[in-house]
Amino acid sequence: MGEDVYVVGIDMIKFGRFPNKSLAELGSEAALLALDDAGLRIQDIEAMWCGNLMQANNMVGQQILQLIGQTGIPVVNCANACATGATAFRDAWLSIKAGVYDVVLAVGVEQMGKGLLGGAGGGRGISKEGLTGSMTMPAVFAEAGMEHARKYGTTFEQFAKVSVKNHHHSTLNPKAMYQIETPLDQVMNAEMISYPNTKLMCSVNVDGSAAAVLVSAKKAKQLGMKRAVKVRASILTSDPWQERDLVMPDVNSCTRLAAKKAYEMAGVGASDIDLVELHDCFATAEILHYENLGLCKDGEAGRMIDAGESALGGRIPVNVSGGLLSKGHPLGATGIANIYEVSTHLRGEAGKRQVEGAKLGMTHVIGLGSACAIHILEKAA
Amino acid sequence: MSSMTGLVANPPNVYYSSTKFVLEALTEALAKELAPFGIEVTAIEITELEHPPLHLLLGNDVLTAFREKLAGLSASIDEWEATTKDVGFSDDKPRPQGGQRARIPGRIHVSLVETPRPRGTKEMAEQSTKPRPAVDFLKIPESGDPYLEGHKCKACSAMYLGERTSCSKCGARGQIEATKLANKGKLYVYSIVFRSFPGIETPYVSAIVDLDGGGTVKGNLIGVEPDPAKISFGMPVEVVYKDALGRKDREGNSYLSYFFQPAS
Repeated sequence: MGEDVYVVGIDMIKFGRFPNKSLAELGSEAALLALDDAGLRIQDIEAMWCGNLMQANNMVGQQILQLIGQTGIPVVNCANACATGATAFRDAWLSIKAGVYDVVLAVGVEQMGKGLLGGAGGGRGISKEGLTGSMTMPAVFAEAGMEHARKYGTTFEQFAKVSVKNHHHSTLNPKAMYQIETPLDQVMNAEMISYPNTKLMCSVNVDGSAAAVLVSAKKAKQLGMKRAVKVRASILTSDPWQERDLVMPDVNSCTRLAAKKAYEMAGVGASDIDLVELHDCFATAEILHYENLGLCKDGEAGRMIDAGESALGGRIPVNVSGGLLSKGHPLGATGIANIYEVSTHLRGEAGKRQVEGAKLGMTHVIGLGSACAIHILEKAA
Repeated sequence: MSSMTGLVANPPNVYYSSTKFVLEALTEALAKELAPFGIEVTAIEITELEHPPLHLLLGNDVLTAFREKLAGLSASIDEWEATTKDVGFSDDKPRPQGGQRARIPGRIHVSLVETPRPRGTKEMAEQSTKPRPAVDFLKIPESGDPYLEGHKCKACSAMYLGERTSCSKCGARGQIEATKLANKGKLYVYSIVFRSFPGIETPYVSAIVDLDGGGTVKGNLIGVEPDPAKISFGMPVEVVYKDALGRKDREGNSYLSYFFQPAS
């Protein structure tokens, strides 16, 4: 396969709510931060991928260049549900792998409203929501969690512990939307949205952006390897057929397939990974992905959260950024923000939440419908 | 002469917005009252507003009324588009000097209030007393009981809800045939929904049921308390057919839906 690809500049804005800023303004902020981090100018960029979901038909990437430099480079706008940002990153990676470019930019950006996400079941006739079950995201992921409960006896309390952990992690991350501790009783007694997910077990709808500068090995050597991060694996899958697909969106099989391929591509195993940023859109989802990513054996995810193995300082820290649950989940930005988090640890620049000695990290996102993107990243020098 | 404030109330102009809203109502009522006499009433709104205001609509009646109103407004805006553009400042027309965010009084948005459309007897005549199926895979035969219909791949036995030409499990083409699904099955998993979209009554149990003989269907589980202690995985359930919780479409048609309830 083609030459190695390195991340030499990566950053994100602090996630929050910015109703007075345009989508392009938010995206341009992250793009400039990433360029500064790389020590490059927009004139150095040969191509750009822009991930955005909700305004995907608005040429968002070009709008960003209109704010920071219209150099005439090719721009691809991409949308892939919650895997949008990671897909932009991966396609940027592909272009270097293919030997077409040496320096490219990937930006992910989203402006979110408040409230529930999900299919309203509209179309012809009458609304189906609450008539033929629920297609709200909290309910869909509650049912996915209940499948785990059915198989392995996972409890409401175990699911809730995921939120306690990730909210705790976010108190150490100044770029997270929230920095608030949420003890177990507070999580379990919060408003029940869709059992077993309470309000504090649902990810936060926020605005945000993140961006990365990817370069070829040749260019990375020129720029210096000191803070470079090597992309060891980049995998994208769609959902393989499953028996209950039609009524139960499946986040497991596409993740398992992507994880298998990612470990193969990187030539490493789950036990080699030092930290993971995974798609905790709901607390129930994180439990599923411990097993899907091979961080523990099937049926052991409940024990894993009980034992604190996925907490900072544990065997395999998961979502030390605070995760989607507390850092926030601006759909198009999430995939690149996860890569930013892992890269920051590999560079040894994560401050109070630093995973000591981190050399290899994994990022994972799921776009329901479905798309799964996994990246394995390695400290370059 | 009205204002954009007649459409969107903004602080701190409480009294101002109120009077403009009155003006909107006055215009609309006058338009309806004077229509039989052939007199048309027009509201002129000075505005830079580019997007319509957001409204939270609860219930079918207000949705229908609002959609009709929007359709009427939209038609009149389209009809007068040329005029609207002609009197506004566009990018190639010079703007008055001033701050970047200065309001430009010259930009005039002309809109005609719709003339009320008489409620047709045609729509009423088309209404059927026979309920319609809430989902495509619920079948209501001319005679006999309603049932759920699956579509099965003859090549690999994968089961689907709704018609299709190819099988997404094995890729076979032209092998899909309709089949009647069983009215009994077992609860696979569920969630108890406490928060849903506005206007949807909660709590309710969203259940995924594996039907005997194949086919997995999602629906409301009724006849059981919305309490995890009262619901068990694998419990036997049966499919029952009832009115769709009183929900009606824009034309006022009733719908038949399916529900799951505990079976012995």
